[in-house]
Amino acid sequence: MPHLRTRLLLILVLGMLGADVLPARALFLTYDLTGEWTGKVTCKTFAGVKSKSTTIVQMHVTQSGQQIGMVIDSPSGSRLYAGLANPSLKKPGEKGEMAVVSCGTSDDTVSGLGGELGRLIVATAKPPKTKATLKGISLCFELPNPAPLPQFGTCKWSMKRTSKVDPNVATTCEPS
Amino acid sequence: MTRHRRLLMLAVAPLLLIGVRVHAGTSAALAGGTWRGVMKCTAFYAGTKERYGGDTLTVRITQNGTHLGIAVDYPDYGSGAWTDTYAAILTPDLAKPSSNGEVALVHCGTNDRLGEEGGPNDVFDEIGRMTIKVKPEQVKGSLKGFSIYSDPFIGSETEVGSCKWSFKRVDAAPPADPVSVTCPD
Repeated sequence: MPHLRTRLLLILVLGMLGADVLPARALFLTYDLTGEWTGKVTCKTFAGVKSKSTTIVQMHVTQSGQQIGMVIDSPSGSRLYAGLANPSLKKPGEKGEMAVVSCGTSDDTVSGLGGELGRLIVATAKPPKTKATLKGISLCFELPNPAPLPQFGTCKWSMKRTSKVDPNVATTCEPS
Repeated sequence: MTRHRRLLMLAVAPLLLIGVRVHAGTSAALAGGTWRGVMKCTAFYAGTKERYGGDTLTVRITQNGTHLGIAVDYPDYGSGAWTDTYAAILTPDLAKPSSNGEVALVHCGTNDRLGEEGGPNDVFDEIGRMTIKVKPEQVKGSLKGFSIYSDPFIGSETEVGSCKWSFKRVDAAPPADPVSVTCPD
């Protein structure tokens, strides 16, 4: 028992030290979305008139702690995104939500290109299983230059993971 | 998505002559004035779901062409009243350009770095999409829509959320204290 008490005391002291010394990110338990994904993005857009489209996409994801890098490939090209993991309190290693932003997003509505921000729900199977889903909504606006009309969109994302191979995507957007 | 948008632009091309005139001219819906209504939000904060909002808020809008400056005034909940500011763009509905349209708004400080604590961009990121309907030359108008935000915290205080906006115009006069239609650098 004394040995156990000593160990418990040691763990407690290390825990207290850790809270101060180690970066918060290192202690933060979260799910891991790293891998290859496939799915669809359905968008309702408005540029003076309404329109709707569905696109089949491939998504490559690398996660490091809370930081998530995503590349979405569609027939029209690739888009880069950065995400921030927000794990569930009850099952942080499996479930939660995340915010996602398209690289280049800015508050410049005069000379900027626009932006996209989304809120996604995360569900992963217990590690080491591959199964995982990512569903949610993003809002976007595009400011074409030269401008005909700005375009606004609401997109529904629905993705499934097909592999846990790390595609080594940058987990943050490059400074613009 | 981009290809689709290009196709959409081509489809809209015959309307562009009208559209450009609307975009640059004075026939776009006049959104300026003072609006009152509510914002109801759901958030995922510290790993749990939350609901908040529902109080009556005041929104002030200054309009310059199709560019809008939007200020949302919050009451004092204990730590002082505050104002959130947004830059926004109005796109007129080509069928009813003088009364209907959509608004994309972006919270000042929004960028592509989520969870950015400290420094000048230590504010939440938010993008919204609203529909706007006004009665030309009348006060009556509605502004309704949805926004998504991410708070500037990492670790256990991370927050992502979304809000439903529903406002009605109570005064069409430009706000006495104009709201900038652009965000500060």
